Amino acid sequence: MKLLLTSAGIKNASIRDALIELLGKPIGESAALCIPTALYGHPYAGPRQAWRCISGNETGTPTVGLGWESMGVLELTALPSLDEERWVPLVREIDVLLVEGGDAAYLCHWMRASGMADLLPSLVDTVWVGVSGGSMVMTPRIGDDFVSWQSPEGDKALGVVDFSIFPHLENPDLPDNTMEAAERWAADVGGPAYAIDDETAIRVVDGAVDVVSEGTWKRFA
Amino acid sequence: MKLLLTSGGVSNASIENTLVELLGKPIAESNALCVPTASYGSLDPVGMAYRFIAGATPSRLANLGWKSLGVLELTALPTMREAIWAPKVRETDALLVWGGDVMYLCYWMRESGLADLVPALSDTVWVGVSSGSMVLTPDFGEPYDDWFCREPTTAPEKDLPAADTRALALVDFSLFPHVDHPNAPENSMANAERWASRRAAPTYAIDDATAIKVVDGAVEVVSEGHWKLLTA
Repeated sequence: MKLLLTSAGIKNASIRDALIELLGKPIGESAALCIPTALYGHPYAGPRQAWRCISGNETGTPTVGLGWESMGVLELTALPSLDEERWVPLVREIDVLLVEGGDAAYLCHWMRASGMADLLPSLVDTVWVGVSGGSMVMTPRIGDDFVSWQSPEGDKALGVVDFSIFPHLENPDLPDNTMEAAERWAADVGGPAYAIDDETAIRVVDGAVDVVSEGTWKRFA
Repeated sequence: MKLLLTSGGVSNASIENTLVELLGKPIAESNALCVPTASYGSLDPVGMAYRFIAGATPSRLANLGWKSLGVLELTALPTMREAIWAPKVRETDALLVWGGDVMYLCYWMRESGLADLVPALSDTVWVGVSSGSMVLTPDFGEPYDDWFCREPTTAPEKDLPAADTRALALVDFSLFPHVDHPNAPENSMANAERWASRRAAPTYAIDDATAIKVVDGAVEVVSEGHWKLLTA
């Protein structure tokens, strides 16, 4: 799996170019599924925000509305009540998963409960585009500052990558997301970590990590 | 709760006028929540939900120009904090309930707690499409009584079943949607009559240009197409 871990989606030309390179073809020739599940776990998100994201009307975090060849909803909370043969082949044949933000701990719970977490290693060529919580779910730890949905796993996430992510750095609508807060958060999660603003993404291909940015970011060792 | 039970959405001016009448205000001043859950039990468990929510369907429902829309995902509700979703349900003017698999939807209506909440929503309008309408009836009948149901076939006659205790029974009639649909020859009126003969309750067989309005128990058919009330 190739990862494009963003804070706020495909916000600028550099991130868009990185996406097209990972896809290996134009967006208009790529088949996508969006995963809205994290939205249902977060008090700032919920039903209205889910509609804006799925319908492609959320301009703050561009993902679904980019002009994909085809689009569908992969609702993780529905998957345990569906036969695997009804959804697994659909996931295998698409080019990209657009994983919306919200509560990363809620998303992590449903990634495991749905069987998607077990499927990921076999999706070698698929691109995972994470937005905020949809990026943080791939890290080893979310950090207690960002946990709102209470899970027995605490702030532990899937650990597909070995660094943690502090998103929305210095976003004017989120006054708590300062660089000072990121530094405290990084000390708390331990291990490698990145604080990224909404104009930044982290690209991971075959274990190689690089940052794509038209904004601000910082790496904590 | 006021009901507008359609087969193919808000497909004509008569059904749209009835919707506005039930809302008591224009659609553009009304808030709605989309319930896509039944579509996961369809043969297209990813595309159908997207097209419904994004309004990219030939059937008109989410794309009528609502003041605001949200997604009420029944499979998520049991793990969502009630404070995130229950106030939205109480405030909304309309629930737009898409079709797919009626047994799957019925299961999640109960499991999510929405079935228990429905009786208290006295002013809310339930706009159902196909399975989203059937789910409120007392009896789905085979083959709709199976998870991952198919459209009716000309299967051999079976014994008359008792009313289906799994169904929600918020209305006292059964519903056979998409009658005489050009793409579904098995949905002929003759098949509807055979299906209705095995139902405990009277059956409305309705085409995609027809809807059934239910307010305070009073049932009225709104149609620019054709329909039949069938009794066993």
